[in-house]
Amino acid sequence: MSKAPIYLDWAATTPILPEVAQLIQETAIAYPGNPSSIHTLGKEAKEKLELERSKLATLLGVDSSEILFTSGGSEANSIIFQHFLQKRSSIEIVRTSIEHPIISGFDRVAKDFGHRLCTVPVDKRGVIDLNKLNELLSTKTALVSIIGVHNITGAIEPIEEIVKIVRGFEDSRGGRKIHIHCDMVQAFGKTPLKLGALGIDSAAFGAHKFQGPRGVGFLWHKGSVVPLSTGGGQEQGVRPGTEDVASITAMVLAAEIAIKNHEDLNSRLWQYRKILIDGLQALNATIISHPTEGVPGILYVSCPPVPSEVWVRSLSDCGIYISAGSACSSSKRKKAGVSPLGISDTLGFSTLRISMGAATQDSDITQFLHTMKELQSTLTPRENR
Amino acid sequence: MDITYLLKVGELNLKGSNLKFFEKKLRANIKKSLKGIPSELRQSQKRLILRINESHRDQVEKILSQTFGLVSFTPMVMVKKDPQSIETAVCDLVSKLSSQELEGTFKVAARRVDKSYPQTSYEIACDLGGVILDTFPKTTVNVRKPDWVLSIEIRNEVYIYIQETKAPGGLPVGTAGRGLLLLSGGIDSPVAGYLMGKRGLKLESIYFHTYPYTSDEAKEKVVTLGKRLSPWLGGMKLHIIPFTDIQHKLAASEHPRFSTILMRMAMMKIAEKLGEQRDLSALITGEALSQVASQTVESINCTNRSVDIPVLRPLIGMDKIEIITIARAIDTYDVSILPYDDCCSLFAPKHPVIHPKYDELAEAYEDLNLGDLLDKALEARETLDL
Repeated sequence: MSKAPIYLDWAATTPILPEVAQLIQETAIAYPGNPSSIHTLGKEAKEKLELERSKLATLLGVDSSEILFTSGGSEANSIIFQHFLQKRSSIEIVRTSIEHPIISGFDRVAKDFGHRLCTVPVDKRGVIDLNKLNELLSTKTALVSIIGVHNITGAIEPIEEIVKIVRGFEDSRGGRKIHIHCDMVQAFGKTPLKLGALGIDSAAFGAHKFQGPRGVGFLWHKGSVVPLSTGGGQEQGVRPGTEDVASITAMVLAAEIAIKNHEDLNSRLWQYRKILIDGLQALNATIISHPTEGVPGILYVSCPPVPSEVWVRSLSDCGIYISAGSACSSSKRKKAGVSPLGISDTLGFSTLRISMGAATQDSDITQFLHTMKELQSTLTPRENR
Repeated sequence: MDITYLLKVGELNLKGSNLKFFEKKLRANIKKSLKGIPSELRQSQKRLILRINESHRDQVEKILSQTFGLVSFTPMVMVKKDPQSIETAVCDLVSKLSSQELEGTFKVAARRVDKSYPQTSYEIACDLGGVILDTFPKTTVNVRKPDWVLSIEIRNEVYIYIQETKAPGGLPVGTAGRGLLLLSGGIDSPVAGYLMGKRGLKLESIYFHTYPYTSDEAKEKVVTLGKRLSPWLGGMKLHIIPFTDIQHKLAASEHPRFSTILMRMAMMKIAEKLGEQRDLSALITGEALSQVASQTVESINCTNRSVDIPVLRPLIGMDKIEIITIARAIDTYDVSILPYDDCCSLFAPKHPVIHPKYDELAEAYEDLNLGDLLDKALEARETLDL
């Protein structure tokens, strides 16, 4: 098929905006100095860096001293987790059962350090069980980590209610602070985000999820944290290394555009989501994401009996790019990452994550559904049709 | 600097009048494997003498350790048949051992093939043992369990060596005819290929690719397995058969419970056809009795009877642990367990027939009328030289 490629994997990464890519080059040339140098070129670079930090802070409604530039969302999350893991006394960490692997990857280390991990379950759409969260909080709870938007189902977690519960609990134990961290990598540009008003303590972001450059992101946090590595003292000593002024500047532009456009985009994506759901249900697909809640651009479905990878490969051959949602082990017919949702092995074997963004057009959705229909008749064994 | 190796052949020595055929093949195989490496290979009585430059040592030793027909190889010194030259060479060789070895125990193993040499094997061993004890006083003799053995062979020339490295034994590849290995990407089939290569069979291999149900990564995995196996076999062709159309037809069968065995029958048929085209006289599979439903004796009866060509199953009586041990030894295990599972379980019946009856299977197979599709798949094959 020689049609233009149809990219429906925006939750994995997003295409960089041309003006953002252009800005990287322009800034890199215009600011050749190292922001830590004391000469004029260095000072100019430093001023530019701080200007961008301040623009970003204004966008998010926070103080610019609370923003640390990082290599991306993973590093931003890691800084917070490593900070708590290094606590000498045993603590309890509460996190959801659907955290991104960067968060769940700390489980073993936490246990090695003698900390206790408590898991808050989610419902079949991926939304946290608030009652269970309340039950899990204890006098030893030091960190609550919640994914802002689930990267698989697109579910938006009720951060305000979570904050209310956690802060309420703090009061009951004499006001001793619990740190609330949010992995906001999938949330940025998809939900209205006034960080300062949320009542949380830290949040992680990655630019490539909102059409910015790869390899750059930021951590918003209050208070001090232990650095991941040592070096030249940049970014308050927490994230040493010469700052990439060009990528940071480009990220801030991408952030401005994403925030400016997000309402219009969402209303368009809700329409596409409706078409997708109707079209996929006509193909006997099961819709796992909530049909009318969550972020509109991420839809998680299951199209049995064809395995996820077979769908992904076949669609890819037709120039349509989506994600399986999580890795498949066909021999066991089980998937990592979907079991917390309580979906059956049969459904889990055939899941697909379709994710859309600013460049998605209605013709992409029509073509996707048409191709799914065509493929279904070739890929499905007769007795399963 | 050059190194001279003494190469020992094993089972070949049991061969009678056709010994020369086996020896010639072994020499040809070694020369082919050493292609591009300057070397000199000659036969001296029942030994092979190989000379190479030391810079190629690691590469050559890897090749020799994968050459069927050889039981061992060792760097050696070659000297004239006079006692003084022998003593000098022995002391020189022993002096290169580590200080730890020189404080350990040794024995001398002497072999006098040239009966005109004035000393017996026993006398040679005693004399050289004495020389070693005098020159390296920290070492002691232990003839039962020595730390190292100095070997000396008196032939047309005198060969002296210390450490022998084991080679795989067996028969030179190509002395037992040509066969076709059904290579799947799992643990068993590479081991089956290795074992048949060891019995002297020259192999080509066949893999059935069911894209998009199996990924290109799964195909690459089979290619990697073939590449790991190839040095043992003196090179190997891999024929990749596009199997998707046949799989679709099989999926439409009226007998879903038979689908796995019907699929295997179709694969055997294609392999048989390829065997005819490529002058390959046997099929080799990695089947082990009752490992899975399609490997019960009744299932094997069905797949076996679907072809007229002999099917060799070298793993038939082995258990999985034994197979894995060999797979690790030949360096295929870590590739076989890579997680590129195929998704053909989509077509696997929920309740596969475990004890099928051949007549029923044959009828179901005939109903599928696969003839043209098999030929088309064979024609569309991709062949790689590994």
